[in-house]
Amino acid sequence: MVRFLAAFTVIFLAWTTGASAADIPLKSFFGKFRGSAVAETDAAKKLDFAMRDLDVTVAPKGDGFEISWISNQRPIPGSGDKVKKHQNTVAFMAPNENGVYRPEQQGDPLAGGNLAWARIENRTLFVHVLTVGERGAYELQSYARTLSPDGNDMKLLFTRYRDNERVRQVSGTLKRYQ
Amino acid sequence: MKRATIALAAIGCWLALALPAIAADLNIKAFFGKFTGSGVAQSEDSLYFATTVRDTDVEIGPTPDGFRAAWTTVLRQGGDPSKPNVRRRSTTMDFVQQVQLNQFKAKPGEGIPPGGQAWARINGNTLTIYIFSVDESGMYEIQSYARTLTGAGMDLVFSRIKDGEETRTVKAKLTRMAN
Repeated sequence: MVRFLAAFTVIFLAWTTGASAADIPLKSFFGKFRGSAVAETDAAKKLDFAMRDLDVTVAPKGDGFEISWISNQRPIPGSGDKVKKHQNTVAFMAPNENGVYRPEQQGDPLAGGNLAWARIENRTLFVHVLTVGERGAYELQSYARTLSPDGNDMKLLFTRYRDNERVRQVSGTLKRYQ
Repeated sequence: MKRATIALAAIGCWLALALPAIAADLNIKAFFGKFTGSGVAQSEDSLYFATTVRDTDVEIGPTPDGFRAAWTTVLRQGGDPSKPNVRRRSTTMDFVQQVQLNQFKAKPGEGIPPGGQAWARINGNTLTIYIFSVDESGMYEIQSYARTLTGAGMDLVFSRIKDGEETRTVKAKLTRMAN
C-alpha cells in the first residue's frame, strides 16, 4: 500500500509539474547566434519582403542575463538605399518566482521609456518591449527565440503590434557561432 | 472667363475630395456626457456559440486635472436562452491631462491591474482608453476602448488582446443621453 501511494505521488507530481519541467534553463541560450530573416510588412495591405542579417548575443549578467541584437536590413535591389542597422541591448535581473525577468530600471512608457519583460516557455525565450508614442498609440514588440534540441539553431519570430494591429513580422533562423 | 471659373471650381472640388481630411483632435470636452446603447461581443468561442448581446453605458465628465470615465456593461450570457443569466460590470477611472493635449494618464485605482498601466488618447474624434497588464507568469493583456463621436452619439469598439491573440471584440452603438 505504501509503495502504491509512493508511486502514485511520483506520477501525480510528474504530471502536475510537467509544464515547468519542460522549460529549458536560461543558460541554454547563452552564446552568439548569426543568421538571416525575412520581414513581412502588413501596412497598406501589401506585402513588402525585405531580407535582414541578424546577430544575437545572450550572456549571463548577475542572476539574470543581457541580450543584444543587431539587425542589418538589406536594401531592395536597385533601390539605391543603404543598409539600415538597428541595435538594441536589454539587461534583465533574476526572475521572479514565476520565471519572469524584468530590467533593473523599468521604464515608464507614458514618459517615453520602455517597459520590458522576458520569460522562457519550453524552448523559447520571449522578450517583450512596450512603448507609447508621442500621439499616445502603443507599440508592442515581441521576440520569440526558440532553440533547437541540440541548442545550435535559433528560430526567431519577431512581431510588432501598433494600436492592436500587427504591422510587422520577421521570421528567420540563426546558427550558433560561439 | 466662365470656363475658367468652372475649371477652378472643378479643381477645388477635386482637391477637397482627393486630399485626406486633416482632422484636428477634438478637445476632451466634446466627449463629456452620458451615452447609452448596446452591441454584440465576439470571442474565440463565437464561432461555435452565439455571439452575446451587451447593454453598455458610459459617462464622461471633467475633473480638476483631467476627466473621469465611468462605464457599465450588462452581459446576457449562458443559462436559459429565453432568460439568459445577467451580469453587470462597472468601472470608473480618472485620467490626468499630460503635456500633450491629446494624452491622459490614469490615476492609480480600480480598473488597473497590479503593476499595470492605463492611459487615454484622443485621435481625431476618437477617445481611446488603453489598459495594459502583465500577469505573474509574464503573459500580457491589452484592453482598448475606442469611443468615436458620431452625429447620433458614439460608436464603441472594445478589443482584448492576450499574448498576441485577439480574444474578444465588442462593437456597440450608443446614443447621447445628456450633457
